Amino acid sequence: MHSRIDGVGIKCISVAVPSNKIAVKEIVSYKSEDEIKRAIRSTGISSLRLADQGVTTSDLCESAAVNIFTSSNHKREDICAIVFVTQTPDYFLPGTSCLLQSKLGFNEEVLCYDVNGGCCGYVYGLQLASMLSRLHGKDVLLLAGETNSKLICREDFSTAIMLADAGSATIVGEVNKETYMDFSIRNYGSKFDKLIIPAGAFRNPPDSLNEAVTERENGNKRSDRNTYMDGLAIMNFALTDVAELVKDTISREQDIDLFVFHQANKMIVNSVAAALKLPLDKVPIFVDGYGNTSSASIPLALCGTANDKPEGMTKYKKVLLAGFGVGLSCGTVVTDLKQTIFLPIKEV
Amino acid sequence: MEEQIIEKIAEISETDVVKKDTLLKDLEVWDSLAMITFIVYTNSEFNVKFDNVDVLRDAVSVGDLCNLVVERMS
Repeated sequence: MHSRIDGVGIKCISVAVPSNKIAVKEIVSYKSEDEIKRAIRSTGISSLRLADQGVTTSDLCESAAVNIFTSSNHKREDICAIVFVTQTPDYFLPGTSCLLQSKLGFNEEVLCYDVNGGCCGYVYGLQLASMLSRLHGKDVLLLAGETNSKLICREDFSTAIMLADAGSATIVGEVNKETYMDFSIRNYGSKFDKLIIPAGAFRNPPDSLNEAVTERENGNKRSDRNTYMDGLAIMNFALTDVAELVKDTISREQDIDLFVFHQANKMIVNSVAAALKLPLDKVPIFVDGYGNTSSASIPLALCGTANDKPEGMTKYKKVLLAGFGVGLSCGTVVTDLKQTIFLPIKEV
Repeated sequence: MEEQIIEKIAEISETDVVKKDTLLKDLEVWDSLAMITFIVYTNSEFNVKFDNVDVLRDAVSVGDLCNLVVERMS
């Protein structure tokens, strides 16, 4: 589905990551050195961030949001809605956005939305936030993040070497009259089981059987309440459906200065870029030291890239952001980040 | 072209001698990462796309993989 929303853009982005940085070789110390080296060569992730036991996604997002209100001139009074995107909420109910409304000091008129989204969640969140901003004529606070560490089994090599934790906060609102956000989102629900936690909700309620960690494909171990990822199917999805969506977007939106993909891992980002024949200097990779942080990976890559470059992001007039993953879903948004403020990545 | 694919499989699997009738289970390394590397290669080199990757998992020999690629090229 393609849609274009005029007059709104991204005003400010802040990201918070756990200060707990762990080497991949420590996480999967049960594997041989050669196997770990080979995996790191492919993923580009030699270390990543994992939240402490009591830290939730909302804590990381809250920290990122507080950073915006204390480090920029954005004010709470300008916000009409909170959109919280995650797969790791604080509770089954209530929605975590309600808790964040109170914790962040917003009044009761502020709208609260929870969106169950993963690696495409940032694009979904931007779309909802931009619609709400247009509807109410005010800014929207998009909070997107994940604490993947709570869902994975460390003995599942395929996920333990890359899935990590981070939270982000983004202010969406009117930047100038010329700014727009051009969205394309596609869903492939028939592939729902390629990236899934099979049990623990209501289709397969928690029981002692699905709690048990057992040996699976390639010697990986996990329970049915852990994240399962079919890496081969996800790579194929990226090379076919995701590449096709980005190709369609590029055919409509020319002269794109920067392509920021969901930072799944180095191999996926490079492979999609190669399939689309994109110049690699226009495709940042920002995974080492952070890992794959699901819906926080695009804002993390944006803040990391902006703060790594002396000129920031001002030279990037037109930027394409692309999310893809669980659903399976993929989405692109083309927008202008010339006036966006990117705060330094905060460790909490 | 088959030779090219076999050479690549040898490289990915870190195996010195690979022939068409070599069984995948006999390669030094043939795991999910190797298969991912293989589809990235066939996509970039031959623009081959797979609707369903299970066919790759079902492959038994190097020749099976070659056939899967060749079928999709034609």
